[in-house]
Amino acid sequence: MGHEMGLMTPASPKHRLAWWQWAAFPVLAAVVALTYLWVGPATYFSSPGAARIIFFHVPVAMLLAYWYLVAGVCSLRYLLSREQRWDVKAAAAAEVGLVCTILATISGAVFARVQWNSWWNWDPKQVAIVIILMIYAAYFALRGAVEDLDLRARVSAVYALLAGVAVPVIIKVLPQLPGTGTLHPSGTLQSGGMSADYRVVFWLALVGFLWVTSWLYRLRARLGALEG
Amino acid sequence: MSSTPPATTQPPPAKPLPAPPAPSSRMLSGLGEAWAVFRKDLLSELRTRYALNALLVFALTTLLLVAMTVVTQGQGLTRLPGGEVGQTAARATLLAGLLWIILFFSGMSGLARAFVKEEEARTAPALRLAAQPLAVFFGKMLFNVALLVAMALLIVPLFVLFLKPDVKDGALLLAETVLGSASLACVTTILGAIVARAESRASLFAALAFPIVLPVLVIVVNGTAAAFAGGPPSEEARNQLVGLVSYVVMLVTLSAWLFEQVWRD
Repeated sequence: MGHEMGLMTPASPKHRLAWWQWAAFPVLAAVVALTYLWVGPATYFSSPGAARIIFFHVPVAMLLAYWYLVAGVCSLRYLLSREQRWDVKAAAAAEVGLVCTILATISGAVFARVQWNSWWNWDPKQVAIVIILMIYAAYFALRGAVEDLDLRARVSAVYALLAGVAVPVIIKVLPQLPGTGTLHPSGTLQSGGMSADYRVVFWLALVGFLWVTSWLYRLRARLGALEG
Repeated sequence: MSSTPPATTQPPPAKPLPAPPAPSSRMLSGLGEAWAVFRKDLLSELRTRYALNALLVFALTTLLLVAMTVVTQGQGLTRLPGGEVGQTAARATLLAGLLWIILFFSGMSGLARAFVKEEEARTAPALRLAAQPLAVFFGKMLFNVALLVAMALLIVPLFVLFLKPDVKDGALLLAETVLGSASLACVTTILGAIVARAESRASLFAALAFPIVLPVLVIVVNGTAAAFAGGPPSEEARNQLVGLVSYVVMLVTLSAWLFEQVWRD
């Protein structure tokens, strides 16, 4: 319990960062430095210099899906085991996922303004992200509206699973609507559509963001465990 | 004769517990229980007409507001490419969207009642003892379906009367009305059970329902627009109804599996 006391009194000299926490700083610093000093302007972009936003936007958008999935899996594990710690983890993952979703929405809107000349144009991925934001809003509203800890854990896990099933259907159904073609490229990563410099920085950025969000998640889960 | 003990002094020997019923008969009794829950709700609804009145007043208010404020017969909406006057595809889509927004929010104003009233009247614990969770779930679901389909069947003719869509495929409109409202009721039943156990119920219900009902609304608005517009798209709409039914079956199965977690104390 010693390190948890340290968390409650931040001034305590006992609470130091672990090596892997320190190591996140040089990785992210390298991402920023390489983005601006090494990677060249990209072709096929209406503003080649602004293509660098993909090192931020794409990893955050991928992590949004990852943390959404983690929250769903933790919810399922809660229902199967009925152990409170899985509820705490589900809520922590959902909060980190919400942060990623907001960042992806904002960076996406900026990117869309540069590339497509419009902040918002109801591209299928923009539709999907709005729906995911609404699900998070409903999820946290529900958590706030139930007092009893056990009941809150149960109903929010049930809701997370229901919404988790609905999302793939929504993403499948929406593009079938008339007049909703996507402007997002697809298959760029798999088909090697990025040059070597872009690929290196992209993967470094993905690892770095995964690192930092996992750290956030750990902190949030520990705080949640102390609250409960 | 003398060996028989007098009944007043000694209790009869305890009967052995009955063997647990075979799975098939348990399922049958579950169906009976679900039907009993449905009948109970239907009877109390027919006596008070609380939910149906609330839904209908809400739906009528919204319908009249839409009819009086939204321009659906302007120049751009009734002028066909050839120059003659008729119903454009834009008008068909606009009207279909308006119709389902009315139906969705009317449903949201009343569908949670099925569970909320049990919590408010403090009859939920008794119901938990009296029936299996699955029977409660399917009984309430059946009631919600009956309620919303009845409301939709009253509202859609009024909508056609007031807003004058040019209905090209009446059978498809009927199918979309019945299947769409039944689907809305099916997929939101478990959400009613969830909000019944939370605070700030009314606003929470619509927020929870939004992502779950979105696929239903997308398909049904599409199909209703096709029913207004007619022609080849209405063939496609019939196929989409199959997708709608499979989505509803999937969500109802999941809800039935998860319902006990929400319902239990």
